[in-house]
Amino acid sequence: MTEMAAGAVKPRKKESYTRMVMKRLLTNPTAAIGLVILAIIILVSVFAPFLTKYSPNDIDYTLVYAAPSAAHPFGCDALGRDMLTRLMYGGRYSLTLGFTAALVGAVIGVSIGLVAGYAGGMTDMIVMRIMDVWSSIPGMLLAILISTTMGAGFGNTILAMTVGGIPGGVRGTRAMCLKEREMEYLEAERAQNCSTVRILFKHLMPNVISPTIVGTTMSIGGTIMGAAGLAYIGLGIQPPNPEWGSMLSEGRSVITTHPYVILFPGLCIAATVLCINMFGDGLRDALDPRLKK
Amino acid sequence: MKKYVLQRCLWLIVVLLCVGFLIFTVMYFVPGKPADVLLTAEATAQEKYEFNQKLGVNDPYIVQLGRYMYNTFIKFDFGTSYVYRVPVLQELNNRVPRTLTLGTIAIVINAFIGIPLGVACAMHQNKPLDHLLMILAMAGISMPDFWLALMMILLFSVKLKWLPPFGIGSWQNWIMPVIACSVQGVAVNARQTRSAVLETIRADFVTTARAKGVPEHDVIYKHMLPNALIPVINMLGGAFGRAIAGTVVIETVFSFPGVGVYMMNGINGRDYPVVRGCVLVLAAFSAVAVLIVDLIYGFIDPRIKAQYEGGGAHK
Amino acid sequence: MKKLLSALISGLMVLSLTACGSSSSTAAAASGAASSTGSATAQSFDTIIEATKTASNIDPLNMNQSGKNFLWEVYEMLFDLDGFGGDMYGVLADSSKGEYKGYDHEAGTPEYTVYLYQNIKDSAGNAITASDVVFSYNTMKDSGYAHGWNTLASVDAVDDYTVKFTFTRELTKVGELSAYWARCFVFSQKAYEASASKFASDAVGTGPYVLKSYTAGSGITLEKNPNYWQTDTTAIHTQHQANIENIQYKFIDEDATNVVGLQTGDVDIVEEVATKSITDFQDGGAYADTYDVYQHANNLTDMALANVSSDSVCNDINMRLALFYAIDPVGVVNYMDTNSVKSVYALGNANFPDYDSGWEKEDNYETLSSDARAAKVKEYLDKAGYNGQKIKILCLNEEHYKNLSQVVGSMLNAAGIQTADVQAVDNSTYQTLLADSTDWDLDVCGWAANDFIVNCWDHIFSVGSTGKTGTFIDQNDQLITLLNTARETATHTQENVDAVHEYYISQAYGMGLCQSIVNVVYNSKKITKLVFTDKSMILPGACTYTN
Repeated sequence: MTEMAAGAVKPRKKESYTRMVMKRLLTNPTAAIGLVILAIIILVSVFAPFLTKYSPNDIDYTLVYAAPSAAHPFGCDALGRDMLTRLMYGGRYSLTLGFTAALVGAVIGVSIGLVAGYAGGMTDMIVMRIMDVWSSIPGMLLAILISTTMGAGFGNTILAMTVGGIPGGVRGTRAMCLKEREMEYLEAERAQNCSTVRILFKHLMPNVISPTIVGTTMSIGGTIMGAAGLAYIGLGIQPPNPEWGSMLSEGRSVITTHPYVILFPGLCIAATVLCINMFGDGLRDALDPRLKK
Repeated sequence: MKKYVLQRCLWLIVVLLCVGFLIFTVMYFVPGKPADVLLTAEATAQEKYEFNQKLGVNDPYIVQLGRYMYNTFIKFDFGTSYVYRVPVLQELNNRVPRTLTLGTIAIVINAFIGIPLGVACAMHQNKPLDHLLMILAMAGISMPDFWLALMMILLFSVKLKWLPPFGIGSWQNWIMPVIACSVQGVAVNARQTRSAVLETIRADFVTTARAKGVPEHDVIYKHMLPNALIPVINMLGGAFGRAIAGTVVIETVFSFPGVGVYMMNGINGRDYPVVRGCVLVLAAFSAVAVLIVDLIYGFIDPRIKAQYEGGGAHK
Repeated sequence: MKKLLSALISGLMVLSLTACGSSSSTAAAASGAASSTGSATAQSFDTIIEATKTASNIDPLNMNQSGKNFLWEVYEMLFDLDGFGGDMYGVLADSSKGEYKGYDHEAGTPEYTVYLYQNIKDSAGNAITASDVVFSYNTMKDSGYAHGWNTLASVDAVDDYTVKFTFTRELTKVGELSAYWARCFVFSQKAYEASASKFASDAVGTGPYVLKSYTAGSGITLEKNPNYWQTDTTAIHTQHQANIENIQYKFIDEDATNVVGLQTGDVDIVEEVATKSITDFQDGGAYADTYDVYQHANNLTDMALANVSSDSVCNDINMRLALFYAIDPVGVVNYMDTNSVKSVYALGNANFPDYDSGWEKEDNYETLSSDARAAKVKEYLDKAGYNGQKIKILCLNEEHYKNLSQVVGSMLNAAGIQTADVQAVDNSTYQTLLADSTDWDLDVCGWAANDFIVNCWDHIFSVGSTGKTGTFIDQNDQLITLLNTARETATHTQENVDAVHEYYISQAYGMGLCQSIVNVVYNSKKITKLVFTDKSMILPGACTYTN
């Protein structure tokens, strides 16, 4: 806030939209914590080679299912590999998978949803029926079918998870659009002969985007867990690559005797998804144009 | 409105036809055939070919497609499972009610706990209660459901011996699967509701209602909540479709013979009739759920109802 | 609002709390199941509960599917085998007739005549005659589920109690007769045709037990057959006894759930418990007073087979030798846990009577000591001119094989051989990839037989309709010739078996990795002695009980 000199009337400095969003975001405690922890997780994954002296594929039969110790803080897995190292490297796969699939799916989904919701009529009908067909096949099933047909592996898993997430984004955006499109401000824009694209992306989108943002952030978490689920049933990323889901799967048979094998990957997934959700919530609050402090 | 409903029903049939075609094509391209799974590893290629021949899966694409579309949509015969050797419709008759019940109870719990929770959080936004409950909710979303299921079995069946660990004999068998299925949903519901309520609570019509002196209770439940619930209902509709799909892993962990494992085994066993049948049934449920959701939109929000009746296109 | 919320939550909590308090053994639709909680006294029980993998149907024609253990209690065959590698004895065939204790055969002809008992009845009261046997065999043949039945020409009823089998040639190889006579259940034609599901969801057999109920996806209940046809108790073999009133099979697919089932007392027998989970049930464990662990070595041998076609780098024998010298079997056993697996030195294990322990003292890639391997690897890599091609390892999508493949992969990497990601796929995709010679270089798999090691080798190397074996060895290869000689009963000598072994080792077609130890955990308060079929499956009816 600028100080007011006695007698003078200074115009208030206008805050840019982005700055306002950032400020709101960072003053929200849950969002800030989520962002910080998420950043730590991402950095740890990226700089994994420097943070650990083990390689994720170093097998050692003397350390099979070793309990957590000073040398191996999270214990070792079925082949004696250090869990902490594998979790760190595994973060790369899981995070990349989650973010890429969710974001690409969201971008595609929102675009389609905006068009369908705004145009209405036949376009809306057709797009929604296509989405009906698309989403009738359960997301996991679609992912399983794609993985089985095209083979497992990193690229195919991203494709599989992206495809499953699109109808959700479309439907959510379109639902909000149905509400918004009769609003006066859009009438005003149309009266000014604004181009449709501009209307869609500059004026309509910010107002309908909030549930989509919440939806997308939750879908990042959901995608990470979906990928874990795929790995759990044996599709997805192939051994010996470390991936949190396949690590969970490996631990399920020793859950009664060595619970830490399934505990730490589960915690990693939970922590990552939790942070993403916390951040996403804060982002939603920060982006809401109607929210005034 | 009637015309709109009729239109949607006709579209439903088209959608189901498309789904049938789609799933048939996808399964056609999945590598491997039933003989790989049903015959032993020592079977020769010739034996496998003849076995597949008897099932009719060696025929060209068009022939199989024609046979399938005719049987499914005209004779309503979903075929017989190659692996289970029982007609698909008959088996689904047994399994769908189970999964449906599981899914429905889970959704009911979601709604009855999640929505009030979300409303409470929104009402007390940014107070400690809000933060606490939201973090709990998010923790619920973040846990892999099979992990939760295994943890629950360890606690309730092994350590405490309160509940049976698997099977479907008595109503106690259902408790843990239901909880495992609903935890995520409650959390998602709470967050969505909170989010939607926060949006609506600052809307002009709410301020107007308050200014008019409407009691706060009515403001919330008569004016605000119906509007806030639109995205929530949308999500519940989607969740219903997903719940029917069943969670394969929960069914595996609890040895719960539902639609999820049936479909999963169908895919692994290249049991085409099973997969096609399951997907069609799921699609039908999903589509009907979506239709109901859209109609509820219209019922709640007169603006949307006007759109349906006006044919939709704006000018 | 808050009040509503808290009321709701507390209501739900009360609801879940009232759920407890009932006994924990309520799972599965059952009848007359006496309480089988772990700490119950063993005196008055009449039911035994076994956990198996889920059976997709109860069809007796496809007996190789999982969860079909109950078939051996409800149905019977012409002959049966007295355990793994055991003698063939008559069940429906009358051992008092015929030159060979149940059948006649003139040497040099392809005809075999089997004599039936005259008083066989199934549980519905239908009399079983020769025409039913003919029907059973023809149905089995038409179903396509029978493996290796390409030598059966016809089955005919000579009279009501005599059946003549005509084959395309005389069956002189070891185990060929029992592949027909101890691998086909006999049932009444009348009952089969009267069954709407054709025995896929109901069962009528001649065995000592009768199907009481079958809940798809959940379990099977059997009860003792009160009208078992064999009234001559001296003629009933141990395997066909009915020592308990009711048998229940519960379908459990998840390993952890199996263990939980044992701990809660919901299950009495589990046939394959992972070694890492059995400590609670062994001496000194928490449940040691109620349970016992019976360990036996699996007939299945885990092995790595090489793709010898021209599409793979393993076409070159030097490459194959390099690969197999790089894999250290001692290391493999260490990784898979010395309590869970045993060492093997061939594409088969010591369970088989025709295994020669002399193989363990030879000097080849199976036996060479760990420290001497690196030099050999280098030698053969140089000879093969290896320049960094990635070896593609293929295996089934099961934890055991995934671990094995990763260990193999790590060992190859340590020796300087590059590997691609392991392809761990489901069964159907596995078969498809296996049939394509461009898709893999090393196949990590398991093979077994129920009688002789030569039959195990036959399964691995038998020639398909393409004229090549599963690992793309040409059918004219000397291996096939030597193998066929060794399989003939007349020439089934240790010498000939050794010759086969020596040949495939010299050609480095495959390498045995390890043999699993199977842990059977059973309720020792109820069961005193376990009885197995020749496929090493437990026969709950035949076990001896404490009551």
